[in-house]
Amino acid sequence: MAGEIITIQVGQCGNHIGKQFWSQLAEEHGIERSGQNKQPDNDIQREDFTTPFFKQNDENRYTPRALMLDMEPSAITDLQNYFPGFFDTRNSWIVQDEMGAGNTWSKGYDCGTANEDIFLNMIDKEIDATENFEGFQLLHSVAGGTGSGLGSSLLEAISDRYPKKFLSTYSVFPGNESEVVVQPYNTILTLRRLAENSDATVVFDNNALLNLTGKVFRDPKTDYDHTNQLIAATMSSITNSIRFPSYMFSSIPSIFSTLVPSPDLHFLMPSFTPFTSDYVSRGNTYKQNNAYDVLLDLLDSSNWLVSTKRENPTYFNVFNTVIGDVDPNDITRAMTKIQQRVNFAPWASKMVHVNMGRRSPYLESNSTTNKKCINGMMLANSTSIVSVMDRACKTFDKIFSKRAFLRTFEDGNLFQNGQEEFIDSREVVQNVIDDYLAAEEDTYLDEVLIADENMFGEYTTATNQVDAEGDNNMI
Amino acid sequence: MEVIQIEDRVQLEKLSEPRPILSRLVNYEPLSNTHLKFKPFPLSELSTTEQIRDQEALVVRDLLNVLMGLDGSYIRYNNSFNPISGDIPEFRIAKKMDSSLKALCSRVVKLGKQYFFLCKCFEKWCDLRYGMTLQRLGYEIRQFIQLDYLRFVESLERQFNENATFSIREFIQNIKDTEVIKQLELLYTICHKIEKEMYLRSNADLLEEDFNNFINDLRDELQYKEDIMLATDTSLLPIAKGGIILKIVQKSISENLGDRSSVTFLKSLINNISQNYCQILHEWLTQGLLNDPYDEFMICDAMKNVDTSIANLKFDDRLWFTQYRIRKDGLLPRFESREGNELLFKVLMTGKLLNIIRISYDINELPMNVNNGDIIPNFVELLEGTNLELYVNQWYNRANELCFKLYFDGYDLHSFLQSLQMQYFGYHNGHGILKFLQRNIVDLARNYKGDTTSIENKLFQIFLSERKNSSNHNTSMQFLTLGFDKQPFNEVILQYVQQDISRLNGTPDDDNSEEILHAPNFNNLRSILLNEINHSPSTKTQVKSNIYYLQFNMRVPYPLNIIVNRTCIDQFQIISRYIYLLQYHCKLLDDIWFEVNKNKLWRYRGYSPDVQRNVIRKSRVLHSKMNNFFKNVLQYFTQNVVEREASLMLSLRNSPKYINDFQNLIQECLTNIMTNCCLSQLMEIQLQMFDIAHKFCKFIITLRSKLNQVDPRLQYRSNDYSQEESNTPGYDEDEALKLTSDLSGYINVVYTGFDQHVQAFMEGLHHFYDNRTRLRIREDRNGLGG
Repeated sequence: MAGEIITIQVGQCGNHIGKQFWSQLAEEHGIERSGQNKQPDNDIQREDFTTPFFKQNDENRYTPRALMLDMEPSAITDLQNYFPGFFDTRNSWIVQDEMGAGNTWSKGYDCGTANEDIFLNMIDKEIDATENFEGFQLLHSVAGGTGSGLGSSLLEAISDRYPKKFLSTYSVFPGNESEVVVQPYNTILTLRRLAENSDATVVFDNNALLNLTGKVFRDPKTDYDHTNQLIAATMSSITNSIRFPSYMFSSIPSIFSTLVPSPDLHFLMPSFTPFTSDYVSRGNTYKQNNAYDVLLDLLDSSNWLVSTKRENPTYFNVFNTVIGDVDPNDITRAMTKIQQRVNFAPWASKMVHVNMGRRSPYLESNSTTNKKCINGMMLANSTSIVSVMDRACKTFDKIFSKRAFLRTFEDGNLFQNGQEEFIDSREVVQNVIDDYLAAEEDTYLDEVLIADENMFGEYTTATNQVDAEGDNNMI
Repeated sequence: MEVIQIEDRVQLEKLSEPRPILSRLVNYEPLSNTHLKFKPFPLSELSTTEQIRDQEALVVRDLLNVLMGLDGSYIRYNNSFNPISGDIPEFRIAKKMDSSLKALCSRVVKLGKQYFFLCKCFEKWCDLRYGMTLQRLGYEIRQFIQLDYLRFVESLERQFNENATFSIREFIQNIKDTEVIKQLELLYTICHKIEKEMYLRSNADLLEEDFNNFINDLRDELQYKEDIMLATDTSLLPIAKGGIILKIVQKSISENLGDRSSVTFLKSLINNISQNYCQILHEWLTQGLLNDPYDEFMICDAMKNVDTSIANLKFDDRLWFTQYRIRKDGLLPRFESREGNELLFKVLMTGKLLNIIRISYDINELPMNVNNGDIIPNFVELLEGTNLELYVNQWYNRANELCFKLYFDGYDLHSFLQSLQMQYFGYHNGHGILKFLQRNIVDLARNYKGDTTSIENKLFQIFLSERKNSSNHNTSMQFLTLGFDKQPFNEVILQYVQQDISRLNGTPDDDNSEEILHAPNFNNLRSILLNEINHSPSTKTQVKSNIYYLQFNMRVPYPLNIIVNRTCIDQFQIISRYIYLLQYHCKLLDDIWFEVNKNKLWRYRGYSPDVQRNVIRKSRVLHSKMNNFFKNVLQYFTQNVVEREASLMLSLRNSPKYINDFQNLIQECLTNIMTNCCLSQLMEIQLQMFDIAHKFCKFIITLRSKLNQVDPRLQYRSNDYSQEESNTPGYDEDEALKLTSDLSGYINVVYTGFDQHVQAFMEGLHHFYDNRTRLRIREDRNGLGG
């Protein structure tokens, strides 16, 4: 069947996200933590489509198409304990002779390059089990050592080895309070790989995540498990149209190709609301809502999973998924409103894609409010992402100008010739920022089209002038 | 007592003797009207006052004869009367009869004529071709004559013979008093009307009448735009029978209203003669049987004389429309009004539905509820008040219930429709379509050549293997086949669109409906219609890719094809071809995305700013615009148009109660999709955009080699790779600059062209959307006002 996707979880953060992601997917597809089908009745036709993310061993057992890589055993062991027998044991890899990357990018990176053949071998085996392999999704954080370093080397290896396959990443960026001093270095070095080797990067940042976690959960004590549920919810919504096929958006490329107009602009900002019990455990309850409200709420920065300082960012593309019992009219209304409210780049097609997703029939349906609740997810390609990069650059510049904490990197293979790698990476990130900023400008293409666009804009506003009774005003 | 031997022989008839052609089975009543003319006693000699009593007796004796249709001495048949000819005789009264007697006679003579006429009628109507109703009427008349009329005459005769004081006055008085004579007259009027009808029919040009009726029907339909379309048979029967007879009797009842005894007599008469008609009606409504050997009923079976077992004809959905039709000739007056039409429709539908059930279950008789099943109502009761409506409704509801059970419980129509939606529209099947396109995109992108069997087979093989994998739940998949249409999608759809447009504008310039209505006969009509077919827009010789020809065919099995008939499947196909075309272009653009985003040549950062901006970046932006546009159209069309209608079609909550309403619902939903502006007014512009996108994708593919030439380093590297071709030219800056400006020029043209198309499309969409909402608001208001 169409479109298998291999998920690669790297490092502690990657594997923790993976845990929530697979638990969310298992729930949505009616699969137990052991991989057993909850409803073993084969006569019932499945309305969902499990092939992209799961291998089906026999009628009733499912195994995730996932690779788990780490440089210390804790996260993966936790995962395997949580899902007994769910994952393929051949697919987990923990470095033997070292204990963790020590938050150092270069250690992770070198470990990655050293074991590249093993990884590619694992991937090849996994691809053998697919019929129509479509692409990868990498889960990692950019701040630590393994997710960023090993992740970076994997990004390079994969884009080199499988140039025609789609490579998307879900990358968690650090917040303001940095726990690790070399975090800015790790971030910039990883960002370079993300910019050069990934096809689409969905950005999360810890500021926004922690902020949201505080709001979403009733429990005041929250940890990364909670935060990762938010990420898992977003990932689940993005892939909803793949797992619960509708009319379109049934493959990873079909979703991301609508969002990424050019490889320079492939950092995407997710937004999600509301986090109902379909997605998080012990969260707050929400009132019943409609798709119109949800779609407009998604534009509100308080629902973004990326914190940004940019007021009124410029949008290039928007892809929404609404899940639940949706009235198409609400969507149409919301689309018109979004088109008016959002500041699109002059060259962009100013179109909002809304996929009407399906709520999994396996999710608990005892609470009626949930059934009526509509969840919405937005992936936007906009300049708000620049804020994250700016911050990364600033913190990087601050410590790099003093050449602080560079000692840990000195052992790295890439740094044998000095600090060039840092300077290059910084430049690449700067280019990304510049590309984003340039795309905002009217001059991104040329001036010919601007007149036409304005004309078009006037037309829409004219037709939308409707008085209270619904009659068009005659001017 | 002594037994006397007598000779008792029977002489055999000599067969050699020639018999007249019009020989009859019954004796002629008067043996002859010409030869045996005895001379009666001259009346002139009986005209004195004393003798007038004798004259009276003679006249009464003659009158008694006349009452039995015989001629007497003074009242005779007219000379030209020939008993063999079957004419009705005129009775002539002797001139010299006493004038007062004469006056009395003339009244009675009329009765004789009527009696004679009635006898002739029932003799004639014995023939099979007159049908059961007339036969029954004949029987009733005979019974009447034998049991009532002749007895009455006999009682008169007895009085005449035995009562010394019996006079002509008493004779006349008796006649006046008795109901029998009144009834005789009623019967006579009825028979007379029937004969008149027969005469008219035998002399009319039936074909012409048929045609005129047909055209009138067409006019009526055009004029009233009735909701109910009835399949009718407008031909006239050469003989008045069945319903026509009932109609005549019914009319005479209404003419005699107020005369209680007559009405009672006529009612019992009509009840008797309509027994068979009611029986047919009852069997039709309860079993779907049409037991009508003499074509008397209001429904006719076009396939009566065709063996339907050949070629599985009875499973064809076309038969559903054409097999059973309303016979317009001889419809009861109750069915002729507007409400009657609805009732008639229900009658027709009930039997048709029951036939589906009988054929599907392969049973001859449907089990009946004993309580009400066997009561065949009599005709008069049936026509009283709302009895007929109640009666028809009762059985109509039963038939519908049975059918709904058959379709929804037995055949699981709901999931069949859902799987149709899945196959044709891609409902919950986006990945299926995607996979199909992915595997076959190369073949589908090829230009269509006349002979496509090999590609067709190849695609079909893949499709078949897919079908094997699909679960058994997907019923429609099993009937689906893949093929190429003879016409590309653009031609097919534009034909529809042009029809729509001309209808919307209300200017039927090339619409020849007027001409049709004025056609003088069937042959002419046929030629006009055939002309129209030939007039279909001339084929443009634009070569299209195979995707334009791809379509999925389905032969819907019986009895599902009654609900999802050919027209539905045709609409499904057209909508599906449009969706596939959209999906195909989305897929194509997704594939191109990999090229413009992931190919090394495209990602190369060393190009001159000019190339970077005007070729690379602009192509990417244009590609993204196209991608966004087609996806948005697909999204709008599937989510807002198809999904909305499909959910209406499939919602069980609002599911209609009647099969017909359900058929209409499906039809309406499909038509709504078909007439959506995406598939109608905005089709042409979309076809152009498909073309632009297709050409652009081809251009992108060819761009790779050109990109090599615009950059010196790339050129150098590619020459390195192809060293054996020593004659490859090196990097030429002028060439490269020219090429760059050529490329950016082309991209610019496509860019602005596509942008203008998008704008035009959006404007159109806004226009139609606004119109529609305005219309809807108005409708809502009207609804509120009402």
